[in-house]
Amino acid sequence: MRESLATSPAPVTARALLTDAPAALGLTVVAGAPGLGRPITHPRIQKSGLALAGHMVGVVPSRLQILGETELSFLETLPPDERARRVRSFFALGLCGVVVTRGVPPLEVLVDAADTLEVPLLSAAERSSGTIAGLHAVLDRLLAPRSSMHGVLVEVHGLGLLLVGPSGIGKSECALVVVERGHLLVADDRVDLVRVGDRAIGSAPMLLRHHLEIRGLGILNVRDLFGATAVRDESAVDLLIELRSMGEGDAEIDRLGLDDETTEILGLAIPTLRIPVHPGRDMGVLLEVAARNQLLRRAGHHSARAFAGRLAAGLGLKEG
Amino acid sequence: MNDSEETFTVVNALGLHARAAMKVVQLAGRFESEVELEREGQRANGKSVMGLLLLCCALGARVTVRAKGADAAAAVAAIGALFAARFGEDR
Repeated sequence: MRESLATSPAPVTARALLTDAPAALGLTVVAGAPGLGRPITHPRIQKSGLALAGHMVGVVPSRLQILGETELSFLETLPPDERARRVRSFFALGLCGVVVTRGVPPLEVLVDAADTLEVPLLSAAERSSGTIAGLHAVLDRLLAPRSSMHGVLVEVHGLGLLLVGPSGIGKSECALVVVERGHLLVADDRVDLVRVGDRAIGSAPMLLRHHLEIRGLGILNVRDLFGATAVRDESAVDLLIELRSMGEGDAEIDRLGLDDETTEILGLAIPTLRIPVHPGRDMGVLLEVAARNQLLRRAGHHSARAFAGRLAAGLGLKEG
Repeated sequence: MNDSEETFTVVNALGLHARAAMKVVQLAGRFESEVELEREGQRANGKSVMGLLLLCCALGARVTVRAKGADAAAAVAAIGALFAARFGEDR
């Protein structure tokens, strides 16, 4: 497996949560705004009842803390002095954020502690169960491993092909050729990647979405030129194709297709092909066939190995 | 292989707009070295217009130019000079 080609991104904070959470969660800042930049590093929240009871063991400050109705009603049973003391020692742990659910106006003691200790205190409109489910979904997405790469992503026969190679090798021209043949453009030049389960999903940055830059033609809007069926907003990366100029490292080019090379992207091993480019080579056909062959391999049929088996039989050797 | 790196400021009124980006790309393309521009952690290939546009460098933006290859130092210096010359614009 070769080293990763990608770079990594900024930390997740309560501020990011406020911009990215669906409006339905009704997330607002109540107090402690200066602390909105504290990093959230865990995709799961914590319910903080025991901490309010004085048991601080197990509170992870970089996990979002949730105070629901039950926790708040417990706080209200405490004498005011004791209540303030517990809340302060809880907030003093350096929490990345505390969310009060069901839209109840948070107790003054919480607001005070949040402001003094600069811990963001947020309010959510939904009850705890809904809020937690919503926050988990947002955090899963925000905290998913991400990176971006220089390359072109197209979808051919339902497979995402990520084309990489030096500037000027013809990645964008390849994209144009496959679009012309009825396939889809996902991203040109910069591909943003996010890992979802065991797939790397690629998309274009908003500014560049649907656009393609072709030397001599300029910046083209593929959606306007070819229609809505010629573009996709995102696609999984199923196959990495490294384009290189003919002659450069030719000895390394696989002539048989027997070795399955992979490249690491976001911790996933992406099947990789190296294809030499030269004038007169029909890249559209090559990329389509690369996609078809990869589909066959996925279905368990490996053309090169099957051929090697036939050869072995012809040579009187045992197959396989 | 040589590495070279320097940070420049965008001093023209319009910032790194489409035509200015094209000039940078054309200039970078004359060098054999790989060229990369970076602004606030965002990186882009110096030989790609789309990538440079994505950096959204307005007036005053600090941009780090990095090159790798035989003529790296010359590439960085040339791009720096283009920034300083306001990409050939009046203001």
